[in-house]
Amino acid sequence: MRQCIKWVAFVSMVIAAAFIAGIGAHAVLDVLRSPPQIDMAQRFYSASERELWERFVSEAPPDFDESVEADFPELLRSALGYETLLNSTIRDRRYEHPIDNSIRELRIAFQQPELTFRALYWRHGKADTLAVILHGFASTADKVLGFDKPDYMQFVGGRLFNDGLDVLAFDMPSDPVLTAAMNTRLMWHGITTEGAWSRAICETMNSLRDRHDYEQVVIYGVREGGRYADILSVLCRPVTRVVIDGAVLDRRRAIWRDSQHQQMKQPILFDQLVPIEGQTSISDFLAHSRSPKVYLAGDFALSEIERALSGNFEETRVDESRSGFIYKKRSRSVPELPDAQRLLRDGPAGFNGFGVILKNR
Amino acid sequence: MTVWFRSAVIALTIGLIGLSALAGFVTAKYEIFDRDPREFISRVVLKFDGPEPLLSPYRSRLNLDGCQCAVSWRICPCGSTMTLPPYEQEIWKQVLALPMPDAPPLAENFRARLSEAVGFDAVRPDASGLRIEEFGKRRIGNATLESMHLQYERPRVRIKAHFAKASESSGNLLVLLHGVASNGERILTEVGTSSLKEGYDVLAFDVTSNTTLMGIVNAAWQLQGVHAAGLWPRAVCDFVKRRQLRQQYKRTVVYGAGDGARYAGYLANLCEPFDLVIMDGGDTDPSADYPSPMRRVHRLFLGYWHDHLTAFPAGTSIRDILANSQSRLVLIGDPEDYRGRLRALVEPAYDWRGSLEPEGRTRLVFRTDRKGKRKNLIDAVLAEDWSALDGAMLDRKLP
Repeated sequence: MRQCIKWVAFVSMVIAAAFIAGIGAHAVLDVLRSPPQIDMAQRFYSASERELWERFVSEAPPDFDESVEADFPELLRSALGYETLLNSTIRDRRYEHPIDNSIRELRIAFQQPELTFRALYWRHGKADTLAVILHGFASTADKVLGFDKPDYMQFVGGRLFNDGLDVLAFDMPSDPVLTAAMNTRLMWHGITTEGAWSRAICETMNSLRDRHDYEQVVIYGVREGGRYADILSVLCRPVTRVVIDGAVLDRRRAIWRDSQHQQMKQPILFDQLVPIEGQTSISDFLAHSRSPKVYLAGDFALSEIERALSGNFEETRVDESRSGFIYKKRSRSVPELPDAQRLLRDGPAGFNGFGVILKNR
Repeated sequence: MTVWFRSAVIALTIGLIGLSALAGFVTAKYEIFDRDPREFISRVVLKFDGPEPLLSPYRSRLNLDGCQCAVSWRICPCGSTMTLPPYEQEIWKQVLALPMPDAPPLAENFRARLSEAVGFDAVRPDASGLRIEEFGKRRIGNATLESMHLQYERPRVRIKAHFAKASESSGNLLVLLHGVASNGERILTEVGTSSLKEGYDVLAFDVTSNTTLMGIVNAAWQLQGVHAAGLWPRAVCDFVKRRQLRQQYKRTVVYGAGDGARYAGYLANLCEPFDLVIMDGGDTDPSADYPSPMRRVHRLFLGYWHDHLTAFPAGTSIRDILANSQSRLVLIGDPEDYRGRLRALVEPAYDWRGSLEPEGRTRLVFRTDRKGKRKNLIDAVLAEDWSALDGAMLDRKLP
């Protein structure tokens, strides 16, 4: 018996030693490998091209103009081709669900250019609040409502429905590669993917508001969906609250850094009809928002954006302003559900964050 | 204990040790101790917690394991290997079915549109403020080769130019723009040597040679409203203006090969006139990409040769490049391609004449595949010896 215990203790020690040896092996390999500042897969055909690349990856992003554009909504409209889609009709039919009859599948069809968008609409019948949920890449409206396998959206639509809200879950672009390809094709027709989806969401939301007379409408966009929510806050009819969760806040620096780190796989995702990305920023989206708006983000993103906003905005308490930023407990871009639900229902009071008010206005 | 039992225990122990070492390695590789454990726990909890998915008519076909966004928990865009959910397939088919809008015979305000599309006027400083630094001088054959840097502030870049001056100059200047996978010195050796012998001074620029790399750089440069496809023509234009080369030389000719030919075409439209601009290749019509947007996305390994800042290709055609050129143009290309594709493209705005004649602004020279003939062909074009060449003329029929 004693020998057996000794054996077990010995083996445990050896396993622990092997674990540490594994960590050590990684550390040794890491030291032996030189830091990959330049991807050696890149071929340089001239010394000046190599120099151009080396300077590009080593230099800090340039000082971008942080001023607020007076005609930003117009700029945004023309950059996205927001007015291009014409003559919408919304058809609905029963979503084929074995238990619940109250789910409708909406088809939002435009005649020029001929495109049809899809959304799921889950209705109580007497709810006074409509929640519009916009997912990010790699999700679907079915997943948002809980009719498909779980993902980072965590069935937020289903949970809000259980809280008593009517829910409109839009099928947003899901694959970034395909979205980039669609963007390049749609630009021939005077519209971008962002313009097309924003327009379709806005038309649908307005139609449901008018038909069912909702007292409150809230928009919740996660990751890329947050970008669409931001656009809607400027271009669409005012709503009760827009909540943007885990989206990129400082897009210009993010694009620049991603390029430097060779993470920019699909640059045409950002192509616009009029290139305004470089001259506009979150300041414009805040200053020209027609609806109260809250951004949820991690420490790093918020500290970076706090600095960028300081020239145009004064900081206040989060519940004293129409626009606010709330720190997420976990960083990055996964929705924190109880907080998100509370925020959508009750607003930003009591959250850890800060509000902003435009200076001299 | 039997021998089998002992062997099994020893094998199990060795396996555990191996697994443990692997676990240690993975822990270090993915910095598991440095991360918030909730990040991992939430992924596991997601599998068990929350409402069970209700029955769906659509079976999920998303494979999140292959998506870089999901793996690193960072924000898209990223490369993705996921298969498409049903609606994505549906909207993709709709977008693919959209017919290509017609381009007008000639686009309105073409030069302004082109300038905006390549950020030609956004490059800083302008010619008068451009710093040009000479950093090397050496002899090649009978010529002197000066190397220079053109310093730009927006974008922050140093462009290299190679200026070879013939010992007995004939008062002619040849400007060379290379294509992909080449550089200024190489094109100077390949194309410029015989011109140097004939008394041409030759100026060659280092422009884009790795399109993948420039695609990445352009994604960032577009935030400053500038673009490589505008920067290279602008550098040539500024250098010629700053050094007053039009005044110094009797005749200034620009020759571009491949992508360099495309920049030469832009240069002919956006810069003051040169005596002759030769486009060897680079005559693809913008509409060529329309049928396959996916090819456009996946082109050139990493991403996309991000070619314009605006939706410039829509509503334009190679016709506009020809019609708005401020310099006389010569296009060099394959005879079959020119007689078929290019003729059909240009005919809404031009009359096609089947031979090269002394008078005219736009000529198409047919390339020959015979060995050694290419150099002769370029020499004949430079000398404007049209009788020695096979080709066609284009006469404008639209105002």
